[in-house]
Amino acid sequence: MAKIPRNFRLLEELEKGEKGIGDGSCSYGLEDGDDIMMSNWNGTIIGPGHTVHENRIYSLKIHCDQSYPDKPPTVQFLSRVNLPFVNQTDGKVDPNKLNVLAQWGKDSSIETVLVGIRREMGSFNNRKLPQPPEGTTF
Amino acid sequence: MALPKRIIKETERLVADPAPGITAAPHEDNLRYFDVTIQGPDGSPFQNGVFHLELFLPEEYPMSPPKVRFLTKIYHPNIDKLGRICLDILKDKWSPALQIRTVLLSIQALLSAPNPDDPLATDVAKHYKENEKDAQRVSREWTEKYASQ
Repeated sequence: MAKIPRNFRLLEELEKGEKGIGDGSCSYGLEDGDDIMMSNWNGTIIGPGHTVHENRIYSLKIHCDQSYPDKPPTVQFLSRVNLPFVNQTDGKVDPNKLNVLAQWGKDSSIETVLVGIRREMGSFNNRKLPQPPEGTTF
Repeated sequence: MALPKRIIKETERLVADPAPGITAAPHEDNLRYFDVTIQGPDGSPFQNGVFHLELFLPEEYPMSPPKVRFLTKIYHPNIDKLGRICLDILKDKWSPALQIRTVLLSIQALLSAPNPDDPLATDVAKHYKENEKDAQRVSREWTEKYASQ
């Protein structure tokens, strides 16, 4: 298969994100619409129902450097959240503790990262973790 | 991974016999991915500018068009802030009879003949329609600022 270069890959992801994905529980877009290298992205996750996260809106920053998509992006929560893979001082996601980042592959994308994080919010171990007040930020 | 003969032929010709004001060179590690430069056409607000672009031939090429985008900022009604280009032959008017060379020549021609009635950058198109002279002045300023070498 032809190897899609980083920039064209990110353009595809941008166009998919602009159309809206799935039921809208995860969304993403460029932080700055002028960013020709498409490095900095914003993501939003709406907490899954029947969990402590229900109806909460979480904001994240996603950074895709020049090695993307060979290497995963770096991900950081802006909204405070208590999850085992999120550093509680700065909101950074530990790539070794989150499956979608640890097992990064050619079908992985910004979308699969957000969907993977949302799935973790609803997992048996995480769905009832005590959470900081809604709307607070790191 | 073998590169289709057609792509090899096109690449050889692009390098040996480049179109005037256009260069295209494949990346060593991805022969479907090209670094492109286009000189702004004389008599256009982009004159004296050298614009960098990137071009990628997808797996389906030539049944699907190449993907092309500007890396140099440009004030043009058919090119948006991320360098994406609104050009019919890159979309529904693509034909396998076209080539990388013809695509790049068409982009060069688009610089001479902006089409504000089919805009991608709507604010730039509005400017071009309402006050072409002033819009061309901004295009010239951007060319000097971002595309001079």
